[in-house]
Amino acid sequence: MPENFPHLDPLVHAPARLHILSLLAHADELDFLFLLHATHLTRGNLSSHLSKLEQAGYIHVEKTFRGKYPLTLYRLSDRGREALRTYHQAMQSILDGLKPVLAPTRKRKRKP
Amino acid sequence: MSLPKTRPPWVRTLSAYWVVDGLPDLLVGCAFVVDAGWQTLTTLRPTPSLPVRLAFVLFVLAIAFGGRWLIQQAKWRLTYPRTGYVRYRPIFPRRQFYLLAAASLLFTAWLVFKAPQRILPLGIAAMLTAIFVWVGWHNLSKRYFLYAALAILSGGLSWWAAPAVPQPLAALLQVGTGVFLAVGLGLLGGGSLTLWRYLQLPSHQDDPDHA
Repeated sequence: MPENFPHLDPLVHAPARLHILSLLAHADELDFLFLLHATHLTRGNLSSHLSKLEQAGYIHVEKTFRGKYPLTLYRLSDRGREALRTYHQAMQSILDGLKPVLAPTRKRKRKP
Repeated sequence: MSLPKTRPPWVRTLSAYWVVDGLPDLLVGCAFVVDAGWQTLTTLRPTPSLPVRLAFVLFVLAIAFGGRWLIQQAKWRLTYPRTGYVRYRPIFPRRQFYLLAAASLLFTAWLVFKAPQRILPLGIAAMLTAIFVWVGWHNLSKRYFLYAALAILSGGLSWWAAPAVPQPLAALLQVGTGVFLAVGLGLLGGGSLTLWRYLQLPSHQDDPDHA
C-alpha cells in the first residue's frame, strides 16, 4: 500500500468485524446472543470474528452464567476504541477525497 | 423544515433492546393504572388510611428508582435468550439531561401553579405525548405513536370535560385521572400484545442455521 493512501486496519475493515466493533462502541457490554441477533451471522462465524478481535486485544471477554444459561459478555477495549478511531479518520479522509467526484451531477437543460 | 434524523438502523438495534419485548410498556402502564386508582380512591375517601398512603408512596419510589432494575429482571426471566443482553453507555450527555429535566420540572410547576386550571390534564397529556413521540421516533416504533395519540386524545377530552370555572386542585386531578387511566390501559394492552407476539417469534437458540 503506497504511503500517501490512508492505512486501513484489516482487522477493523472486514464488514462483520466492523459491525461488531461499531455495536460495541455504542454499548458498555453486549452478550454473544445479542451480537448473534444484531449481526445475523452464524454462531461459528461470529465466534471466529470475536476470537480474532480478542487476540488483537480490541475486545475484552468475560464468561459467566445467568441461571442455567452461559453468558459471554464482550466489551470494547481502549485499544479497540483507538483502532476504531484511527479507522474512522482514515476512512473519512478517503471519503472526503471522493466527495467531489461522486457528488450527484445536475443535468444541463438542453436548449430548444 | 425537515424532521430530526432517526438513528441509523444498526444503532436502533441497540436501543430497541428496551422496547422490543413490550416489558417497559407493561411496567409504565401498571404505574399509570395504579396512579389513576389512587386518584379515584382519594376522591372517594379523601383521607386514606396510613398503610394505604405508605403503600402508594413505596410503589411510586419503587417505580421511580427501581423501574430499570425491575425491567431488567423481567427480561432475564421472560425474554432472555431471545433478547440477549445490552448494558448501555449513558444516552444523554449529562448537561443536556439535566437541562431537559429542569425544563420538564419548570413546565410541570407552571402547569400546576400558574397555568389556567383547565389546561392541567391537557398539559400532562402533552408531556406524555412528547415522550412517546420521542421514543417512537428514535426507535421507529409505531406503537409509541399510538400511545402518543391516545395520550393527546384523552388529554383533549379531559380538557373539554373540565369545568370552566376555577376548581380546587384535587377536583382537576380527578379529571386528569382519565388521562392516566386511558394511557395506562393502552400501555398495558400494547405491552401485552407486543410481549405475546415477541414470544411467538423463533429464537436463534432454536434456529438450525445458527446452531
